[in-house]
Amino acid sequence: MEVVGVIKDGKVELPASVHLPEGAEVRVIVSPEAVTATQPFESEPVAEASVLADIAWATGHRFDS
Amino acid sequence: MPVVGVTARIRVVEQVWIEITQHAPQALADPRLEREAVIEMDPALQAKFSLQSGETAAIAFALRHPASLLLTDDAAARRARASVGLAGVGTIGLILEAARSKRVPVDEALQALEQLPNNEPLDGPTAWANQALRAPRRLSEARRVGTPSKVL
Repeated sequence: MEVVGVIKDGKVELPASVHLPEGAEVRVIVSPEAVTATQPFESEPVAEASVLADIAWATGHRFDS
Repeated sequence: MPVVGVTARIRVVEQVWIEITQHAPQALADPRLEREAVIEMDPALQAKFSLQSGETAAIAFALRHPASLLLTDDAAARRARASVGLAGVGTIGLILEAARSKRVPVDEALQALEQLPNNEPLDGPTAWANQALRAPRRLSEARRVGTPSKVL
């Protein structure tokens, strides 16, 4: 028997028409496209010009480096 | 790269939304974020500044909403933004503004600045940020008498 469900709030939710016997063992196969592995952001070094521009915006002052 | 409108709505274009889901999906739980539909991008602008799709889409969105403030820390996107005359700011500016408007404590803001990734080149500017937050009056006085020379 093969049934397709979806994950909701961390639990497998099956169609209402499907009734599995209590205690039945099930095997979950997750489709690869549904799995999103988080990856670190590719962050570049902060440019000094960007810092100074942000300070100017936030403070109304302008600064030299 | 969300786009903030004048009414403080935080609008995230679809391309950026998808990008965030791959890196920090928990950030999208913030109820203030509004997910915007896919925006048609300007390939010429994207090519000229070597922009990624998220940055290009955010700029395209901001161009359609000229009162917006474009938020990005991406250097290429900042150059592109300036070239098309859009207002914007980055994380550092937002942190400073939040502290100066007393929405977050100064110490918390400084801690956030120190925790920014890749902030090694920030030694000098961070000192200025520190001064801007802790001693704005002294900064203003220094500006009036012309010292130090770093103040315009």
